[in-house]
Amino acid sequence: MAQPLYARRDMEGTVSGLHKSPHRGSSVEFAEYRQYVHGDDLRRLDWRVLARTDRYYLKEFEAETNLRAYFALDLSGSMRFGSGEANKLAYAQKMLATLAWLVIRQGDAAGLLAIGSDTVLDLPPRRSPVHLQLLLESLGNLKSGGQTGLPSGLHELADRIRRRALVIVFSDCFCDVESLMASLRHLSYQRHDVVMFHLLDPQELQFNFNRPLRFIDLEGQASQVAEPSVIRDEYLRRINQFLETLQKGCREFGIDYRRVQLTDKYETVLADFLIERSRMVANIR
Amino acid sequence: MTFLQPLILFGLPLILLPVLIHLLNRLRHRPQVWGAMQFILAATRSSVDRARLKQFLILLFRVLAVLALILFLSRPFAGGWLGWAVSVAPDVIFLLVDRSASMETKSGEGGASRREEVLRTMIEAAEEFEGTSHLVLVDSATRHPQTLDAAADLLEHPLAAATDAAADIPSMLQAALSWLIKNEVGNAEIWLGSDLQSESWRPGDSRWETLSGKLQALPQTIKIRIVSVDRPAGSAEAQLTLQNQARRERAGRREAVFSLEINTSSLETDVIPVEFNLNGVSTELQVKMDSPQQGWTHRTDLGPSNSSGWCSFALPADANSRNNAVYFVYGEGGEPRASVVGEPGAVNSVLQIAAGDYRGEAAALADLLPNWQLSDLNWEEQSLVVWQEPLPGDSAPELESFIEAGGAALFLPPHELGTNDLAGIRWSRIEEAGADSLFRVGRWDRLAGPLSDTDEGLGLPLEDLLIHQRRNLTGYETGTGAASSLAASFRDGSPLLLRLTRGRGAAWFLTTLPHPDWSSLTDGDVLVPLVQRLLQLGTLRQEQVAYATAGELSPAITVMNWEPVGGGEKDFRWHAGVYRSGDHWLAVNRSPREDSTATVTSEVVRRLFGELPLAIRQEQTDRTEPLQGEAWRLFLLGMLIFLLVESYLTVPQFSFPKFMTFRMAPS
Repeated sequence: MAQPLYARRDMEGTVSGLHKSPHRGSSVEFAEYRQYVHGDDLRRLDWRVLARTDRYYLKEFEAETNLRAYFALDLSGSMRFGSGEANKLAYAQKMLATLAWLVIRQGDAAGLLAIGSDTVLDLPPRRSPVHLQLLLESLGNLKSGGQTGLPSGLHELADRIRRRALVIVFSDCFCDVESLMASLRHLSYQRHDVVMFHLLDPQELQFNFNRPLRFIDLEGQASQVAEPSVIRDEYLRRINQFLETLQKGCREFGIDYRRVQLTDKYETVLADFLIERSRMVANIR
Repeated sequence: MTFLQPLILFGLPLILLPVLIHLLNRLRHRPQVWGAMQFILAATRSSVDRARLKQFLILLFRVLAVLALILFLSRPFAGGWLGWAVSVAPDVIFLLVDRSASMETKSGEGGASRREEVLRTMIEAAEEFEGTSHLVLVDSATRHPQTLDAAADLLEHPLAAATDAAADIPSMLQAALSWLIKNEVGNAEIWLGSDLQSESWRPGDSRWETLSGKLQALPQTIKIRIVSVDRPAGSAEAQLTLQNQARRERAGRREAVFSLEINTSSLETDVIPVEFNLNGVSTELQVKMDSPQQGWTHRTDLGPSNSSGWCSFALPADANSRNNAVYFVYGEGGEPRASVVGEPGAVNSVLQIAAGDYRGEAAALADLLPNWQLSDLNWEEQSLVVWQEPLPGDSAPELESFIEAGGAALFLPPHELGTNDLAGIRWSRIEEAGADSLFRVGRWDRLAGPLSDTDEGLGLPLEDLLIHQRRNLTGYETGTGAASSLAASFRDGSPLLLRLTRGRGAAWFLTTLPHPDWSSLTDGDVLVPLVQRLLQLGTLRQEQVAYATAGELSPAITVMNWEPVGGGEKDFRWHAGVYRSGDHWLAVNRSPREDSTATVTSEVVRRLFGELPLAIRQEQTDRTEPLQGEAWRLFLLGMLIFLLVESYLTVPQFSFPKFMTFRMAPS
């Protein structure tokens, strides 16, 4: 039995599921009618039945609902970078596929939003295995390149989904950090449970080069000749400052921020993520 | 600033090497695709000024390190404060020891001689420099620099022992100067132990000016220290000198008349006993002293006219026993005579001149006769035969007898090879040198033989010989016990001059000819001394007696094996006495120069050394004088400092690991 994926916040699903609904004691899914007994909550009377039959009936709902997960994948050129065997896109694809399988397997719905400079692919969440097959095939065909459009893509997603959902973002976040934080804040204000898998290559964090290099931008035409030993200190200072800002902003808006290095085993990363979520939900209940 | 290795300064452009490497390094950058480009661009913009300064400093220190390395290798010398700052113990200390007869004067009965006191003073001073300075001994007899392992070895060193030879201070300094130039050492001090005898110092010698000039012109600092012992003898000293001698033949017997003179420092006694020794039989002569300088004549019968032997006169032991005796030998004499065997031509004309008799005012060329007229040659009168024909083999038995009887024969490459040999040695093919690689002389015997150094210690210019052709020899064998030995050889080891000992004489093989097509021997500066010395050697065959002054023996004498008469371990080259080699007698007397009591003053010594820093006896050279000192240590230190700073700038900056972060405990 696989470890289920739980949402930290209440979900607004369409069917019964593992996840807590915002509607107290009920779910959207209709269960049965029951005659009014003194003491019942009058707010739960079905006024339409009363008007039609002049009888007091209560409408019963399921207590828990299902989850709709949106996987947002950054397809900018920088996701193609990797100093080892895999690049960031391949790493994200493996994680995403695993989580999507898990979500659909536990009866929840999974959707995919691939964001390049524009939105490249938008698969709305579905629960069926057929949809999983479609999602995995689409995922395997994705290619990265061009500038990042992640902030605008996330804004668009926040505007589009009206029910509370789980939004899992896979990105290296190499874009304007203020814009990115604004889009994440937007999602958070919509009461979505947002998870940010921040993917980084160890070389990007350590910057261990020992000879002059011409750095070629993966997201454009820019290039820069630099002596790594000369700029290393300043580079590390700036990237650490960026990471700190991103992490602090995510913590402030309740976003589950997870920094992942490509040298980490993705099974371990996912296991930690799922177990942590299970404990968190158990504590809340 | 001057340099001991100035040619290395041509490497100064190498200081640009770090800059070139830096530029090439920048050019050889490789492409690197990168995602986090925004940080690269920002870091480059922000770091450029600081990075440029750091890069400039790194390059500067690398350039300075290379510069310091080049200056260090070029062995700089600095004067003024820099020279003072780096002045250290000298690299080399020359110990110039005067071991002449006058240095054996003792201060009292049983006291130490001047030489021994000088040696003790030198040892005491030199021991302080052991481990930091090389000690090189130059003695007045051999004048060949010898490295000493320890200063204490000096006292018992055979080259520091007493001799009867005269000292030649300019030649000793010349030997030290040549050693300095050849070995390219750093600072040097020359310690000269002497009694300041004027005859040894030769202040009027023109070499002094050249010597002091060359010593001053050396890039390294040369300091002179004179260790002088010139105090008077503690007791009366007398000298015995032979003024004249004459021999007369009368009725088949030989009579000798000796004119002698005694010089005393004080007239303490009326009569001085003189020991006269004739062939080992002693008699005492009483010489009445009317004045401190007393001459007298002594006649003696030497026996039959054809007899040979020796005699000596000796004074009683006094403060210096080295000047108390004179030696005399007698026997049959001879005349030098040389003949050249060969066809008339350019080569033999040169050989006739080289082998000529130059004793009289008119020079007499050597005789030239062709091979087929050999029967006309009077072998008994010959001293030297120069043979420029194919080896005779059995066709000239007189030649072999001549050599075995003590004659000298010089064989030169014949035009025709011939089939004969001499004791297995035969001429081989002619070998021609390439246009760019002439045959060069590698080694020769500079101590003895016909190519030995001159009395002044100057070597014959064999290194300058240009040899285009040579005729090789086969069948010779050199080494211990072999009859033949190499007197001179080429750099490839093949012989230039080979000596073959036959009986009492020797045959010499010269493998090139005095002809422009063959060699530059026609210049004469090697050929003439070579042939003349062989001529002297051959003359000894007829001459039973020889006289020589200690330390000034002719090369013809030195090639013979002389044994002291009466035994002992005296060396005929340096010690006065009578020596014998077969039928030959050799009388070696002390140098008459050593009888002089005149000395040079300190002022004269200072004038002779010119501007060179000089200390006499206890005088110390002031260290604050603006002397030049070798400054390589300073540049070596500078190079190390530059490299250390460069390393500090290039290594990543140190930072504490995270787990070592310290936090203040809440109060």
